[in-house]
Amino acid sequence: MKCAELQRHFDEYLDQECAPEIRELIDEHLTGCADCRAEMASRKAFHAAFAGLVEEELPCDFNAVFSERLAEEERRQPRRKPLYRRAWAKGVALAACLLLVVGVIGSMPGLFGVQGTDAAAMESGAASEPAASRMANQMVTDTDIVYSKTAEAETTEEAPAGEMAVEESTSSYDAGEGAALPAVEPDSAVMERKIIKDWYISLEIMDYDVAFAALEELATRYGGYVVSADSYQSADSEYRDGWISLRVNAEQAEAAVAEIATLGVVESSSYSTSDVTSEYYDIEARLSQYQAQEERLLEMYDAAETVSDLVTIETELVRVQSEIESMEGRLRYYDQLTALSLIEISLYTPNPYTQTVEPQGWAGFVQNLREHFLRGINNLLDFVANLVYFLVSALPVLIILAVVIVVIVVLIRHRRHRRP
Amino acid sequence: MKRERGAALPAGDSSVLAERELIKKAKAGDNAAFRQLVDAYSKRIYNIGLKMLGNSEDAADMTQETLLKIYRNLGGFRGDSAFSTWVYRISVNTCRDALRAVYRRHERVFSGFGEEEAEDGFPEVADYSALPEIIYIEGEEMRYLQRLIDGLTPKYRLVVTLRELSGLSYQEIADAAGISVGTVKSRLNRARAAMRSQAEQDAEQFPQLLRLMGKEGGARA
Ligand SMILES: [Zn+2]
Repeated sequence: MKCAELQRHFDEYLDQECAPEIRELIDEHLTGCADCRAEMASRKAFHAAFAGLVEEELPCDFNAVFSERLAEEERRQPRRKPLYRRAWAKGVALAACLLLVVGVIGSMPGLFGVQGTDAAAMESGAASEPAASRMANQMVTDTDIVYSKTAEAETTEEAPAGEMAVEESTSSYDAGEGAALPAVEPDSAVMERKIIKDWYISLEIMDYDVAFAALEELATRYGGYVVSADSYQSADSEYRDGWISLRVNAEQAEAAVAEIATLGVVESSSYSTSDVTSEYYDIEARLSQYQAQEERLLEMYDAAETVSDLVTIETELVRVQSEIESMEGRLRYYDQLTALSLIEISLYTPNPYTQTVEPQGWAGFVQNLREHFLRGINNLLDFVANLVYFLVSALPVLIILAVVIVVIVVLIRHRRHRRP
Repeated sequence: MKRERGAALPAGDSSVLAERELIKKAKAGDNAAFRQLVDAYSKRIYNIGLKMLGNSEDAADMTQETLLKIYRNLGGFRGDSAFSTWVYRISVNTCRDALRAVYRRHERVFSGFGEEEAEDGFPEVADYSALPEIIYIEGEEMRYLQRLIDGLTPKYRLVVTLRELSGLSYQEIADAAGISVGTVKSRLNRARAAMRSQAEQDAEQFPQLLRLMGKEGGARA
């Protein structure tokens, strides 16, 4: 009986996955039991036979197909790009701010002029969005990704006059780099811009199921639905992660994102936008041409006298109508994408082993060093950017202060000069 | 000797470091680094798909889908577990979804890889009656072994595939399949017992198969 019991562990033994005490037992037993030695030899041969299995090669078009799908994926939703990209985006913001400061100081009388034209642009701007945010959106398209820090600047859409400085910075960016931006069509001022905006959030949560249910509920509450979801669980059930994609009403997307952030600890949050305005109105324009053509064809159809005329007109009519249908479908698709923002959330619970699985040794040290260094740079950039924001917003006061100080200094010098 | 072939992918410290470097670059948006990163896994994922789904089209689709999921979610990978573990976990999950679709096509019900069900009872480990008639062709031992694996029911086929073809350790299999190491052990035991007994049965008809079990038999028997 003992033999059968031990033989249950023979496969583990051969897989080198046996507990040491059982391994010892087996080794000991094998020396004295011929039956078990024979059984072990047989199993060993069976194991060895499987070692001859080889993996098959990938289909030859695999890499080409994958390249295509990857490119498609990237067109659909550009990846968030942490740290480096973030520092770079801040660098651009910083440069834009410096440019503004230099520009303003360089042309002091122009200060109020800039604001004047900006206000005018806002009045004549798009019906639904102020010019500044439109520009901001273009800037976003240009840089692809903007991080939440920078995103705050964009939310100044309905900002009070006091925060005008930030909006100015975007418009001055436009003035400075105007040539690099896609030309805005002349009649775009009266059109609603069609912007597809997708959000990406990494969220650490305590209870996966609770957070997941909350997100499902949130999607419905914000006029949307769950697009897809997937989750994994580690074997010991200690750690769970997954993702969920939602669509929510685009106008409420920011509120939804803010609410999602309250469900856990946000590790990163970003969004991407793509501007389909020109495609959209291009399709719309062609659609109205086709509709006019359809109307004419219908009139001709009614007036047609011969059968061959009827057939010709009908063929043409079918073609035009199918074109119309496909264009209408395309417009509906864009309408849907712009009306419902995608929010993709990576969810994970804190890993209980994080402390022990940290990178070890010299490599770990170097990695930590690099991360801290990059974090340091980010913090520095944050600090400088905030300083510049502060300076820019304080500029009017500073200028008046400077004038007052200069006047006082001049007066004091003047007095000193007189006294002796 | 098994582990050499099995090559749990991160073979040494240097390749782990290289992989970590690639992950970092890929996370930063370097697509060339991403391709290099997953290139090491795509063949392996494809072969898991091949064994689990049974045909190359579904396997290739499933592999593409897995790689895209890795691409989309790389930002969420934080290095708490080995990258390979994470990749296999996604592969197995994608495989499960794909298998469900395959079963639906044939109007059968697939209930997963038995992650939640209790281990006791009378689980059906293998069903060789559903396989094609040709059992063994002289000199084609490997094809015969494939057949032994193919006859296993999905949850047993998965652990055998991850062990024999992907060369994972019990712990790695447990992580990938979302089951405990104990369950991995008992499933591998049952699966191998089922395959051995099938081979012994087939050996009555094809004595050459006795060689697979280290028993003398050969053509003369
Ligand atoms: Zn014995």
